[in-house]
Order: sequence, then C-alpha cells, then structure tokens
Amino acid sequence: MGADNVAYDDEPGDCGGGSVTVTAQAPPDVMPIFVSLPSLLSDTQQSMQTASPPAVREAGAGVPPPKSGTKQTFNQCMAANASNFSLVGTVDKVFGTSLRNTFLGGLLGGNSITGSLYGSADDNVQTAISNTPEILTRSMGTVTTYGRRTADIMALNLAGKGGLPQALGTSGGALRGAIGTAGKILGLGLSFEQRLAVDAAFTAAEAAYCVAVTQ
Amino acid sequence: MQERREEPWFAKVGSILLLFACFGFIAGGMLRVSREGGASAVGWMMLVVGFVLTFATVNLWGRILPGVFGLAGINALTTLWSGHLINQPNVPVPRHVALILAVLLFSAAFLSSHLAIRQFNAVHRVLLLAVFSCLLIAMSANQFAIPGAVAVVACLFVLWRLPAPHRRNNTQV
Repeated sequence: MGADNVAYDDEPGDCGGGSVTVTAQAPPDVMPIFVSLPSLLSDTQQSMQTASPPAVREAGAGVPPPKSGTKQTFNQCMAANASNFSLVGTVDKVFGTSLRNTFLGGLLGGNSITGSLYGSADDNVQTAISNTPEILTRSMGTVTTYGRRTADIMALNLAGKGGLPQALGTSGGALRGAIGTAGKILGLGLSFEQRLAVDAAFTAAEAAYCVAVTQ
Repeated sequence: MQERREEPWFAKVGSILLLFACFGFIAGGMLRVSREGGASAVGWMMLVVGFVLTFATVNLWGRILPGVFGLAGINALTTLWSGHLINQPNVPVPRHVALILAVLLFSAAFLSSHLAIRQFNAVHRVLLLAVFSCLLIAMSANQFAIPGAVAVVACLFVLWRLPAPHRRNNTQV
C-alpha cells in the first residue's frame, strides 16, 4: 500500500526469459489520502498513508487492472519456473543453497527437457541434441503424428513451439548417426535414461503447476 | 560373464536423488556454518548428516555417475549453443568455458561408464569420495568449475586404470 509504482515480477533467480513485469505509474496529480484506522493495532489511533489505485484504464472502461498483473501464458510460466523444477533447483529450495547459479551446478542438476523446450529461441533449436541418444535412436522411424489410423504415437503433450516430434522430423541422417554413435561410445546406458526420467518427472510437475497457475 | 547385480529401476532413480541430497546437505551445512561463524548447530548437523550419508551410500551414487555426467555434457552443449546457463537465461556462460566443460563432462561420462557394473573396494571408494569432493568444490563457485572438472576427470582416470577387485561369491551372473 502506498506505492506509486506497482511491479509484478518473479524472483531474481526465476526470470527465465518469460518473466512478466507490469509497472503501473500513478499520475502525478493523484493526491495521497489519509485513512484513520480504528484502534486495532494499538490504543492510540494511527494514521496510514495510502494512495489511490493506479489509474490504469483498460479500453476506457475505468476498470483497475487485476491484482496479479498481466496473466502469464503457459509457455511463459514454464520458462520462468524452469530453474525451480529441476534437481539442483529443488536442492536449493530445500537446503537454502544457490548451486543452480554456478556453471557446474546448473549443468549437473539442470532440467534438460525444459531447458531445451522452454528456453530461449536458440534452445528450441537445440532440442535435437538435448535429449537422450537412446531415445532419439529409438524414435527414428516411429510415427510421430496424430491421426485416426496411427497406432504408434509418440508425443510430448506439452504446449509450445519445438518439441521432440518436430525436432526428430527435421533431424538429418548425419545427426542421427552421430548421436547414436556418441551414445554407444559413451556407454551411458540405463543411468542416463534414469537421470533423464528425473528431469521428465520435474517437467511433468512443472507443467501441472503451470496449468493450475494459468487457468 | 558379467559381474553385475541388476538393481530395480527406482533404486537407481533414488540414487540420483541421493547424490544431490548429499550435495545439498554438505553445501547447505557449509553455507550456514560459514555465514554464522561456526555457531550454527543446524549447519554442523547438516554437515555431519551429509558426510555420513555420502560415505555410507558411495556404492549407490557411484554407479549412476555416468548418467549424471552424460546429461551434464549434453546440458553443456546446450549452453554452448545458447550462450547462457541451462534454465538460467540471466547467467551468461562464455563459449570457451562451455566448450571446455562439455569436453570434460563427456570425458567424465566415458571414464565412469565402467562404474555401473564394477565392484568397489576401499581404494575405489576413496577415489569416488574424491570425485564427490571435487564436484562439490567445482559447484561452489564459477572460478572453480574448470579446475574442479579437471580434477574429477583425473580421479576418474585413475579409477578407470585401477584393476578390478576380486569377484564376490554372491554376485549373479
């Protein structure tokens, strides 16, 4: 109360490229008003300086904006919370650390799925190399389109641009071979898939959260 | 014949969570102890729990290191492409740092790939704890990222060159 500028923003570490900042500037001619509150806090009455609501009008209707500011879209929510819904983000929340802001902490515990699907525009292009080599290799040749007569459908049911099916569809033969070979040479095997499964679980949790928030 | 005991799928997922819980306990404990000048009982308790947990479960988290390093290498490639830390567009990462980290992390993934099916003796455990310590130091500040990753690769190389310990009688084949 009493602030002329009202900013709605995420936490400093949460801005994932999709954070929303709404600043409402009160006009200079708005006079502050003084409200005398009843003695709920103490025996003596206290005066509290407040300002009128920001004079933001939508289409001339004179309706003040909603308290939560501009509503986030699903994609914006996913991008903004990508660092929270990850292994290292959870560790930071639980133990009060800030490992996700360091290079190696972010790389070891970052969520590769949301990092590639809901990062910057460059990250969306990177979808093809940000997924497990085994999954990519297996996915080659499988049906990745929706349709009545397709029996084998593989899709990541998340809204947004990019995503696994499109990336696979545009992957060249050289890329497929390189990633498949790299996966075999590295011998990452099951532990890699399980590490990716953890990220998938975090992504699902984040998606559920963002669906709840944006509705 | 393989010296391999198949573990349930969820056990390996639990091992991944366990590794990061160990990081969290020790890093959080160190942070509290350093912030409050050694007077933080919670900090010391977190440190003790973290060290005990790390020592006691080295057989579990040691086997999932290839996956952790492998995905970190792919995250480093994403970082190399985008120029910022994965999930953190406000944290820029120099391209040469991302490239070096990608090479080191893929090397670590390759060198640790044998750990999933290997028995550990005391020397192996000591080296794995050294890997853990180096990772923790490397995760504590950006200037330690490359030296720490180099130390991790060095420890894993020694571990890779060590002869396999004697086979246990109760292993499944």
